[in-house]
Amino acid sequence: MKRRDLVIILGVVGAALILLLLGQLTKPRVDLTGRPSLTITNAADLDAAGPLAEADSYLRIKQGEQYYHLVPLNGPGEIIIRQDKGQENIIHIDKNAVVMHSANCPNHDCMRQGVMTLENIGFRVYQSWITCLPHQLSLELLPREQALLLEEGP
Amino acid sequence: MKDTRNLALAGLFVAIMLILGYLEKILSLGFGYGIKLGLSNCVLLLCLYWFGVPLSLTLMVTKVLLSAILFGGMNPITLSLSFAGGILSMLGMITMIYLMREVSPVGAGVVGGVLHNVGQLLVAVLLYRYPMLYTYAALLVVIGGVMGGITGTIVLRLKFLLPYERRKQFGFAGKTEATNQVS
Repeated sequence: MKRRDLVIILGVVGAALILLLLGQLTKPRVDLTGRPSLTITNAADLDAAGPLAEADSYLRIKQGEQYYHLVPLNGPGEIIIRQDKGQENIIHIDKNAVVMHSANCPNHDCMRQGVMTLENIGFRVYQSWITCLPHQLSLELLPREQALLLEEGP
Repeated sequence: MKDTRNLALAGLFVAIMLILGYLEKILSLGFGYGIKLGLSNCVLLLCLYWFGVPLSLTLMVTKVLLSAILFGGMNPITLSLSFAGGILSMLGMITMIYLMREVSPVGAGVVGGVLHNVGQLLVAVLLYRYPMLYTYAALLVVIGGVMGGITGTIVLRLKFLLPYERRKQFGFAGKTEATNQVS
């Protein structure tokens, strides 16, 4: 250990603290983009419930640049997302809870991100997201007030 | 004669890096948060001291490509992430070793570890639209620093392996070495 090493370590700790602070300050952003076409296999079932069905929280699915359904989280269910090149993600939902049940991506990081609930998004490392990077798929859990905000958008 | 020896050593180092990378993968030190010890980084750091910049960069590229072919199935996303992490981490370590004074392998390792994660996160956010999570970024920075510190410490312990003239160049030989041996 030399003198500059300490400076480096202090710099790293400082950077981490700043990022942590930013994480506390920034709330998950609400994008007011519309909901385009679907590639979710059981989309019809999801639509039957209607995007604004009563629920305390909603699941928003994002693939690439596009946003898909706003799924009300008011009971147990399964969402299967298939993409053109055979990518498949199976999401299990329950009341105010989401988990990536299975996926055929190479690393399965999304499955290890655990159960995301309305209660734990405040202190989860991934905050309100479960992300499958190889399939460019992001799941965001939105509390009711944020979801309503989305619906009112242009 | 010396070039041949270096070439043989470089091949050996690539093999070691691949094995270490594979072991980490199957022992699943991943925890699902992209956290890895990055033991192969330790070899790269040692290479920087041993062979200098050009050969070490070649080794990094070789390692990334080979592990993508052997274990990663040539997935373009993981490949680009590895490249971004590797290159940024190498640049950081090169800066620390060759352009800064008073930085030991521990400092260089910390910088390398942090920048490796920063590079991957940047590519994920900018190229693949991964949501920018500051809490996660903070975790990655801390983990990168700690893991980099560990790999740097390992390199510090392995510096006796370096040829004498390299040790002398980086001030590992002579006085500091004598005091280290006493303590």
